Amino acid sequence: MLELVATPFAVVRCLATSERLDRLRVPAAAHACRVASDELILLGPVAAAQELVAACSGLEADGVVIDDTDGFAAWTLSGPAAEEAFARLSAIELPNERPAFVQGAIAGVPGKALAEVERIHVLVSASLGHHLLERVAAACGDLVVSERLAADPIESKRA
Amino acid sequence: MGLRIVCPTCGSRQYTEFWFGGEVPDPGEEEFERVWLRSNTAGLQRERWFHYAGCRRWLTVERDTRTNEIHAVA
Amino acid sequence: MRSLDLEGRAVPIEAGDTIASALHRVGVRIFSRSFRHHRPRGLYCLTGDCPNCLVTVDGEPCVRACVTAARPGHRVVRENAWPSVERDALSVLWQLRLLFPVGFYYKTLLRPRFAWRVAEPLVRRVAGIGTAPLERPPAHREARHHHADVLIAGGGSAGVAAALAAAEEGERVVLADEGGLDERLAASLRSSGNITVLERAAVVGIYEGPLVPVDGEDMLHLVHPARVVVATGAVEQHLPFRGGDLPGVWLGRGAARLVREHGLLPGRRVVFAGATEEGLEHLAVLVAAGVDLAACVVPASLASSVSPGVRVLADGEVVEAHGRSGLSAVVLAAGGRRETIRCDALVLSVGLSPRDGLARQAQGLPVETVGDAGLSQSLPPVASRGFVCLCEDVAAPDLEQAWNEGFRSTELLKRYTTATMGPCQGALCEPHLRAFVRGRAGEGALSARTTARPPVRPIRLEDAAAGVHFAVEQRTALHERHLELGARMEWSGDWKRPESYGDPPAEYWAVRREASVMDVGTLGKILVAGPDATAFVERIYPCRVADLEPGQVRYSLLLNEAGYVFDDGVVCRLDDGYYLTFTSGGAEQAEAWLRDWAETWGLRVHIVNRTHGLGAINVTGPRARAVLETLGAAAVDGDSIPFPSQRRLHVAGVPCLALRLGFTGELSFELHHPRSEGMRLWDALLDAGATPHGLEALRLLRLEKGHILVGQDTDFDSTPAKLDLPWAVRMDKPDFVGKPALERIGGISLTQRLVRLAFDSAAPPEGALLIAGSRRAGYVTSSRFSPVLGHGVALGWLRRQDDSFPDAVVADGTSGRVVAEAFYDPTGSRLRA
Repeated sequence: MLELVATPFAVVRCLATSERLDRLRVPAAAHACRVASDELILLGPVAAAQELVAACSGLEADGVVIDDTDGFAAWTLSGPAAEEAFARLSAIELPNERPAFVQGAIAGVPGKALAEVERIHVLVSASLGHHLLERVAAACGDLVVSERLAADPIESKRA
Repeated sequence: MGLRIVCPTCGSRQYTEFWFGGEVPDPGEEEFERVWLRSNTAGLQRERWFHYAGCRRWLTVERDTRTNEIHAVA
Repeated sequence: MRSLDLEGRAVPIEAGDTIASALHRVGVRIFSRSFRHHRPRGLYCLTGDCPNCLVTVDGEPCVRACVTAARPGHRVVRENAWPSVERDALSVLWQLRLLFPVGFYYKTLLRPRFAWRVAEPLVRRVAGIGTAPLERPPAHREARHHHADVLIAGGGSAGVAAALAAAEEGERVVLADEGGLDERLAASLRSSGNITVLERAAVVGIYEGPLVPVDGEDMLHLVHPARVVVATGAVEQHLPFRGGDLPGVWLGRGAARLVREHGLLPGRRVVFAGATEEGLEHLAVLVAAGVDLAACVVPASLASSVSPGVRVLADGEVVEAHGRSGLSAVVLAAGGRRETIRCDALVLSVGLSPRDGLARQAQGLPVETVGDAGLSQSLPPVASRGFVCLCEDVAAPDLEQAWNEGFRSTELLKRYTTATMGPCQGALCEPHLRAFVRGRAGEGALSARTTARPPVRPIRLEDAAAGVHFAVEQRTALHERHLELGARMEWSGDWKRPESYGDPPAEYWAVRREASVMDVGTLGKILVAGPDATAFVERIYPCRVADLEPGQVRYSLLLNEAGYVFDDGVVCRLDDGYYLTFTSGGAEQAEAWLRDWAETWGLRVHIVNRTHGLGAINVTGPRARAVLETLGAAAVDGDSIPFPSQRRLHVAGVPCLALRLGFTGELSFELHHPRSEGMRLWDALLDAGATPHGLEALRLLRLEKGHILVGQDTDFDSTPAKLDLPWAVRMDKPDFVGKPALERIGGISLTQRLVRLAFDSAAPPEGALLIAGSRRAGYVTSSRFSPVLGHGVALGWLRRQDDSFPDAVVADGTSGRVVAEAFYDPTGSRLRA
């Protein structure tokens, strides 16, 4: 059983030296995903975009903080079959611990995935959002039950 | 088909997630040699790969061109 | 009643039937005609190793009938015969075999010259097995990745034992078998945890990684194991002798399986020839089933194990088999005497050949072999008659002929005769091929194993393409809008872009006379910031950049280390960094290239790719300014935003970075905005009276200004000088990418230049040769008829002739001349408005 959920994420990209990123205080409502030693993205509820940007203001001195929510399309694979669906979309091996962040080829395009329990959020470039949908429909047609819009994506972070 | 490169940030990935960036030139080489001449070593070669599907950073890889064994990734 | 259709005839199906057993039950004995000689072939191995039972099922060729379950409604057609397999007119090829020796296509039909042209279509029609189902669209199969510690190929007793042992050690196990697992073995696997079983899934090959594709019924399984265990077992050894390929000759396992699993007899009167313990078990099965055992050929040591009452020829051998379309008698020799025995089935169990192709192809990878697949290959005696390779119809005399022609090793014989290259991939024939060479050349490199390569089991191309068969299409935020407006979309690199909205000439005139908009959201857009940003961009670009103030922009070429132009774009100076644009096709590579140089030079910069997060719409035309003012944009007059420059504006409430550039040759504002506001901005612009234009109109507009398109007008080795853009390079800068190369070649006078050409009347086609003074002088790269000027305009490469470049050319019959400036509005007054 699989549900495909359109997930409104806020995505804030932070570029700074590795030491500064290590010391960043990440807001409780967001996941901090280390893209590279000098780049980190914060994933949070879309309504909190401004808050997240503000939380990183300390980096702006000689770094860059950008609200790049528009740059990504995000869909969530939700349900007991989420991992089965992911295995059909990507050769990336998800680590055992949750939540886990991975990046690499997903559905044949560069993507990022945040894996929670029975939910895997997949982000691709905004210009490829439709492509991810098509691939899920094609590869997981026998698993998909329904699609819906989500109100709040970061359930695992709700206090 | 399955050559794997271990990206320091992202982990072990198939080579198809990367773009090949050529041999690392020797430091002493002149422009002409650097741009046009390849050593094409049969053996350990230092080369550059760009992880375009993942972190989008460059790696320097040491690969044995005879066996495709990767010895080091930085 | 459940039945399948065999060439129009209904054949009943019983529980557990394969297509082969169902056909055998109703008396079908000829299953196919052999590849080259069209000899009748029947069931032989019943394990999916030989080519004899390949049939077409529901339009799909080369299905192994002996391992494919029969389903009601299957339409089965036997292959490689005309008009029918029972009466094949092409069996005359066997009579004519002296005309078609091994390698005949290298030797025959060479003279007269027309002979091959006539013969080739016929040869092609006759050659091959089965017909590819080209009318039906390929199925789009999906792939599923598995991550495991060990992949076990083969679900027999050795494979299952290895699986259980690995699971006990805590390993994640994937076990794959091309058929179904024995029920007991399957149950023991289920009770142990962490074992994924893939049934009816053939391991296709072992690739670097290791990566093991497993061809399942519904999808392709791509297994990424840390190690592989090959447990594919062995096939009974094939025995070549004259007539040995007739229907009615069986391998022991095949005959026994027919009896045990399907309750059918291979024949009424059976001769058995065996040399193994296993063979005796098969013999016992046959005897218990009630066949009339005419004779039994076994080594003397096993003679006592044969049931009493059976006629035994100890230490005998099979000499030949007789029959026309099926076996009718065999000739046996024992104790110096020969005897002809009437029979309709000959069952052979003379040895085992390990199925070790998978292990041998995976050299250097962590692969181990267990069970019969690891048996050491003991070579059989050299065959003097009969078919060595059943798949490719290579007989023992063919090997001899090839040897006499000079092909004297297993590899050369393989390539010349094609033995071992058929569906069995050497499982049945390679030992005989090697034995033949060893008999001539002794032990050594010449009789070495042939190279094993994937696939070891046939795989359809559509299955091999599973999970990678799709094209990736990038779309801007305005994609739906373009479709609603009736746009014809075309590929532009990885993007889909509007070629036109139905009337390219009208779109063109809208830009020249009114106000028009174009979706340029596909442009590469990269933000560069950080302490060393200025030093960085100054070294990246060949022009001067460090002197730009915030609000200024500069068009620039991008050069590689060889000094060749590979992209172009715009540099905008922001308050705290630089905003760089690149062509749509070059966006992705640009980021990689910038990062490479930043790292090489050790500069502290932050590079952010904004290509997808930002859209861009170009508002262009004499009335462009009026449209923006209607939408509330403040200060868009020529003093506030001069040409060229950039300013932040709000248009229809959408925050934009407006770039005043001049690609189309008219007053233009390229509005870069957040992607999520794209549709709102676009809708507002159309409401304010702007009309959309597509790529076709753009190609003409820019050509009238003589602007290049990198990749169309440039070649891989186009330097700025060759492109007539020397102002784009500042050689007095201390360093930039490509400077050393340009210095080195700077002294060499140009032999080629990109020039603007004005043609008298029509525009020549793109690619047309340029002729000057009756000599070839170059070719046209871009060409269109200019509506506003009334004649053809083009860009093209021109070669120097003798000491100078020609200034008059002819292309495709039209005269043209080289023009120094832009064709349209050379002073640029319109775009500087």
